[in-house]
Amino acid sequence: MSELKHSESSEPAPASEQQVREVEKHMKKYVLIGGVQAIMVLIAVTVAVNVSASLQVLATLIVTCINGLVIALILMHLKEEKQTIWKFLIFTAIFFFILFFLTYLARTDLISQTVHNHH
Amino acid sequence: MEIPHTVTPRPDTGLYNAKLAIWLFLASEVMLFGGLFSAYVFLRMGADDGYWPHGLLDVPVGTLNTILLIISSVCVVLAWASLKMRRWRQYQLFLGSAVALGTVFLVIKLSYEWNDKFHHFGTFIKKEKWSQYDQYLGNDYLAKKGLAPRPEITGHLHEVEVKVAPEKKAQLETLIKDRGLEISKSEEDGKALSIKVKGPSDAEALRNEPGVTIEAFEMALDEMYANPTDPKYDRPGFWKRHLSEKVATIKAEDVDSWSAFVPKHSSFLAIYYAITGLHGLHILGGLVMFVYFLFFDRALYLRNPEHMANRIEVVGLYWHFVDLVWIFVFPVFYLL
Repeated sequence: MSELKHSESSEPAPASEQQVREVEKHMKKYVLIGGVQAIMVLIAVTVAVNVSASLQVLATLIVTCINGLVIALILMHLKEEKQTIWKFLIFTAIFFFILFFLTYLARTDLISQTVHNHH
Repeated sequence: MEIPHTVTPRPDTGLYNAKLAIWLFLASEVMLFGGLFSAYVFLRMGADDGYWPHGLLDVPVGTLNTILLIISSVCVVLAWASLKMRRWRQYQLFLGSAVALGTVFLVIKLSYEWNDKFHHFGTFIKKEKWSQYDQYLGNDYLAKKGLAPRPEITGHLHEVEVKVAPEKKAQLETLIKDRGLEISKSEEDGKALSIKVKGPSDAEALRNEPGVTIEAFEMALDEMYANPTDPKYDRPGFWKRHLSEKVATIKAEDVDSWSAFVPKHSSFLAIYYAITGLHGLHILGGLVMFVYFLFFDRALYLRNPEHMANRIEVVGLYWHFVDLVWIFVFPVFYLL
C-alpha cells in the first residue's frame, strides 16, 4: 500500500529525447496552423466585405471550407487517422448531404394552391 | 478490474476506446448542427426580399471571438503535446490558457453581443405604410438603385404612448411604480399617457397589461435610419450599429410587429440564438471538462501519463469540433 502511494506521488518517467524532438516539431506546426487559420478568417472577412454581392457567398464559403479542412485534417489529426474513422465520417457526410437535399426538395416543392378532394 | 484498451489500441479497429467513442459522438454532433444549418438555409431562402437582415451583427467582435477560439484550439493541442513530453507545468499553462480564452469567448457572447441585442428595438412597418416612413426607410431611393427594401426601423426605445381603460388605471399605476417607470405626459384625464421606458422589456410589460393599448413608440434611431439615402448604407454594415441624435415617433397601428432583438423578432434572430446558444452550451461543456482535467486529474497523470494524454486528445477533438462549428457560424451569420 505504501509502495503504491509512493509510486503515485512521484513524477512519471521523462519522455525520451527522440520523442521530445518529434513532439516539438509537431508543436511548431500547430502554432503555424493557428496563424494560418487566423489569416484565413481575416481573408474571409475581407472577401465578404469587399467582393461584389454575386460572388460574396461563394467566395466566403470557399475560404471557410478550406479553413474547416485545415482544422479537421491537421488539428484533429484526421490526415493520419485510421480507416475506421474515415468510414464513419464518409457515412455521416452522406447523411449530411441527404439532410440538405431534403431542404432543397422542400424549397422546390412549394404549395402553390389548395387541392380539394370531393368524395 | 482494469478496463482494456484505454491506452493501447484495439486490434480490430486500431483505436483506443475513447477515440472510437468521441468520433461516433462527433458524427452525431455533425447531424445535430447540420439540422440547424439546414433550417438556416430553409429560412433564409424563404425570406422575402429585405426581410433577411445583413450587417446586423458586429463583425469586428465576431472576428475577435473567432480568433480567440482558434488560439484556444491551438492551446489544447499544445497541452496534449506537453503531456506527450511529460511536461505537467507546460500542460497546465496551455490548458489554462484554453480555459481563459473559452471563458472570454462566452463572456463576450453573452454579456456584450446578446445583451446588446436584448436592449435594441425594432418595428416592422406595414408594407402599405412604407411611403409614410420613407424619411427613415429610404425605400424609394433603394428601389431606384435596384436594392432590397428596408421593412424595419431600429434603434433604442425611449417612450411609449398608451391608452388605458378607466377601470384599469390603478393597475397600470402599480405596474409603472413596480418597474420604476416615469409618466412624461398625461392627457384625457389620465387615459392617454406617455411613459418613459428603460427598454423593450418595459414595453412588453405594457403590452401584456390588460386594458392597456399601445398607441405609439418614440425611439432614438440607429444611424442608418437618420440618413437612409446615404450611399454608405447601400452595403451591409461592418461595425456595430450606432445611435443617432434623431428621434422618431412610430404609430403602433402602422406596425406589423415590434420587439427587442430577441428570438421572436425575426427568423434570422430565432435561428441565430438557436445555433449560437447551442454552440455556447458546447463551449461551456468543454470548459467544465478542461477544468476537471486541469485540477482533478493529476493522480491519473502520475499513475498512467499516456492514459491522461489520451483523455486530453479526446477532449481536444471535441474542442476542435466546437471551433470548427464556429468557423462556419461566423461567416454564415456575420458576413453573408
